[in-house]
Amino acid sequence: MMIALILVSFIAVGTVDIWRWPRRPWQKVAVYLVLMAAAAALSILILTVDDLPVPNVLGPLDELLGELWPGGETK
Amino acid sequence: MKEIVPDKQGMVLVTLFVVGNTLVFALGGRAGPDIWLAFLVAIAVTAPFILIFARLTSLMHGKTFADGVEMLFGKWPSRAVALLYTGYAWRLGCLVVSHVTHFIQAVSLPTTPQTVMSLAFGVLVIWIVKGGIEVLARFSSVMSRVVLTVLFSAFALLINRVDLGQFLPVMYNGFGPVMEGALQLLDFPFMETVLLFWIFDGFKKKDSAYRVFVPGFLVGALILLIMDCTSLAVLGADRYGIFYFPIYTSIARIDVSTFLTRLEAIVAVTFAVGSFVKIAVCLLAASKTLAYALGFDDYRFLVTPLVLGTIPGSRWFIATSMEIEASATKTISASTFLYQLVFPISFWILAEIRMYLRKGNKAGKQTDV
Repeated sequence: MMIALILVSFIAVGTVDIWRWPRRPWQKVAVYLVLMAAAAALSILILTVDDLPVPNVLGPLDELLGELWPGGETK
Repeated sequence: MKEIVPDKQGMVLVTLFVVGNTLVFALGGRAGPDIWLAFLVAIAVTAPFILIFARLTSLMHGKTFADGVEMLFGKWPSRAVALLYTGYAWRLGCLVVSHVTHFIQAVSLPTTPQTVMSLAFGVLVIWIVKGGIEVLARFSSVMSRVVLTVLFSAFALLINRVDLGQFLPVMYNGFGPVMEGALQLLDFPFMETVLLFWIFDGFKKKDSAYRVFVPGFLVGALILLIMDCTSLAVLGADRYGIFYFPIYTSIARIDVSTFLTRLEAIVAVTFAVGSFVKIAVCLLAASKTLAYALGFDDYRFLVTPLVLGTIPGSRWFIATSMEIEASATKTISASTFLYQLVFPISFWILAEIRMYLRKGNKAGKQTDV
């Protein structure tokens, strides 16, 4: 039920937002739709997956700094 | 179209960004009674970097920061750098949303879901970010009067509860805790000011960047120094470090003849205003850098999805109040190192080299990047 509500909300907001643009070049519309889909997907994942892992691309550097200064780790 | 912000409004925006969502946390708590020293060390370390950033902006006068970076690195590397800053700005925006919603839930609305609060903030942020930097700077200019009045009134009413003995003995545990406290402050919030350089399209004069960033940062840092030291002197060094929101707790102790009490609610409002400005700055930076990275002139069409993404993002990065405290009081992280130090300093060095070479070509004539 919540997933459907999230999807409907994102579709409604996206439709109204695009409708209000003065011009709608396809490049902008495509980027907008991809970002809205990503935001909706993240919302659904947060709702359905407990403790969703956060990617840390700078992990090794974080570990090194954490050893140098204890308490420097980030989630 | 370039949006030019008057120097005074820009300065206030920088101040509110620095004070922003940091006001209620136990900043520099690891320094204990030497918190004032930690603040002074952190300000002394940050000030040269602010000057470097201002110099960089001054060298790029007449161009947006993104255009200036493109002149330094070329088209595609500068777009890659802008994309990295998009991630950094968006993540910081998520963290601030998380801070403010957790705070509101903890102190006043315990049964209201955080999503409802973040949605309310999100709608306002979409509105102001689409309005642009001029609207945001004007809003900051108006609200700064409210924020400063409330903070200094609270400070004045707390003075009779201050115990200066809490700051003694000075450096009893050596310089180590002072450095740890200073590193906490560098990470959050002082060096986060690097994001502000991406949001200004330009300034009226070449030296405006100095007039905006240097006093803006110093005033913000001074406000935090005064409020945090007062809070520590009221609560005591031990308790300051263990409370999640020590300034909020210390202001709750104001009691003028049982007539004027519960002023912490007003301070909570100033925290919400500061957080709102900081979220807006983060999302404005994220939108502008992403638009540049993808090759678009206008950033406004990207605002809605990026802001809506912060609502789940705020629950993704931080789930509990303990994690909030950890994120607000950590000392240093790789992202800090990279985004706040490595990139800006390399921009500056390249800009200086480029200007030096141009100067040589034009027989000493002063030029920009």
